Amino acid sequence: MNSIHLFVDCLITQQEIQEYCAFLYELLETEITVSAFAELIENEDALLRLARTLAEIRVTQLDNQELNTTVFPVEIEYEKNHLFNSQKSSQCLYSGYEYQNILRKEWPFPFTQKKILSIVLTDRRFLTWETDCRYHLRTVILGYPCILSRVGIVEAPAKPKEYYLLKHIGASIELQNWLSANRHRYLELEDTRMKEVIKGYLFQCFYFWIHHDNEFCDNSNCVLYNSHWQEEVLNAQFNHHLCPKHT
Amino acid sequence: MAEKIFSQVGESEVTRAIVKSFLEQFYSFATTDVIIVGAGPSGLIAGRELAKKSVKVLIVERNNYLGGGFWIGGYLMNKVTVRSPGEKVLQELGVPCVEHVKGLWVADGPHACSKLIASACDAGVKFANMTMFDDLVLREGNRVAGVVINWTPVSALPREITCVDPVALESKLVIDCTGHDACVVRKLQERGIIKMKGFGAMWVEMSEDLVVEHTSEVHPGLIVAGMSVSTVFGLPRMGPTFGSMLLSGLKAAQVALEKLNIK
Repeated sequence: MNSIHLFVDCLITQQEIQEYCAFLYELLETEITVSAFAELIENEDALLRLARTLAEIRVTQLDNQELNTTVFPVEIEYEKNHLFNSQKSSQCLYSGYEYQNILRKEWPFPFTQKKILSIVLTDRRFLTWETDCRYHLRTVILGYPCILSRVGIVEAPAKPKEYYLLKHIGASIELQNWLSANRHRYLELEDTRMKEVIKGYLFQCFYFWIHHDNEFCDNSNCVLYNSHWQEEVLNAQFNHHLCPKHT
Repeated sequence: MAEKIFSQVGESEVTRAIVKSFLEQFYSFATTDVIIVGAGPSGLIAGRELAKKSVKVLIVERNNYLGGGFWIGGYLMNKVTVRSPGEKVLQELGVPCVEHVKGLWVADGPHACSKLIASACDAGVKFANMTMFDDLVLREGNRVAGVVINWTPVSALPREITCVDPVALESKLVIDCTGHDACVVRKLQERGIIKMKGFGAMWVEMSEDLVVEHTSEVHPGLIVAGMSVSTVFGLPRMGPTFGSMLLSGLKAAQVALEKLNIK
């Protein structure tokens, strides 16, 4: 039987979780399970193994595909400390595809089951190596499991160009003023619009699972659009509508 | 005859005073508890914290002046910034600072830097300035047990006349506070003992926490602090903000105290 499993690896309220479950249930009336990601880690060995592999898949240079080949004890300790600390997410960068590999290898069930839509909702930063020979920060990485990063939603799609111009010239007061006056044009982590945007990305995960299709849509009004700008996210994913082609 | 303002002391006594006090200190510090390489903000604060606990500390600095980049902020402008909670360290040092925007504090570079140097001196830290870190002293299992040093001007001499052997100082611990160069860890890398990852692109919001949390003993006897942490672990660089330098220095001191079994 098809089912959906949501693994929560970030600090969100029960009310938010219920909203996401209700949204997914609207898409498909099926069993929906919610777990804290940390519950997967059964014992100290599993914790150490995961901490070490997380340290190994850190991205240390954005323009070098090689990951963290030599791991120091403090890096493992850092990962250990952050696996159970929901108050503070890791500040490191990780390879998204390697993370999916780790989860599949460590927990074949449920992460390799195509009948289960597994989604990890996290505050980690995931990157993927792209054709321009650089790592890029991602909001969502579709696959088994799907990885959806809240921090990625805030940081991966770019803010409007004026923001970077002010930041580049070091105009800090003007930058603060711009940020205050333009809150409607970008997202923050504690933003009331985040819930609807997350639903948009949950929809992307669902569509991938049902249709085995991870192609993005060209229509910027479609929830399946690959938003590169915050303003695009606040249109396509916030409204989470499908275009006529995908309806 | 009018009375002179200053006491009557000849040149030879002035020379003797300099030589005697320098050599007595140098003789004493041939063996120390902790040698810190680099007298920037992380090195100074680490030294100060250790000296406050009666740890014998020597800071080696290649320049004549102490303070590293703490005299000026970015772009040659002499205002230094710290993000919260870094201002608490400045306030403890008695450095006036103002909150520019929420969570970002600004202080005068010269005031902050001179207070930090004075505070380290007051705590009992001794300095070997104009002194280049040349190499490490290694013991069994490549444990770090001191540093090899030479006068900075030796490196500026023509090669034909630079056959000036360095000298070595022994210590229980060495702390690398040499900034992005990570000169001390680099010596281990040159011998194939450690592999550094190089610092990443600037990402202020992320890098400061990471630098503090990765401040640690990277090899037996060698602690890494400040921006050298970023080079060793491949963390993003942070730009002209100093909060994590101060907090990383405090953490390095804490790690050193644990290693020395001092509470």
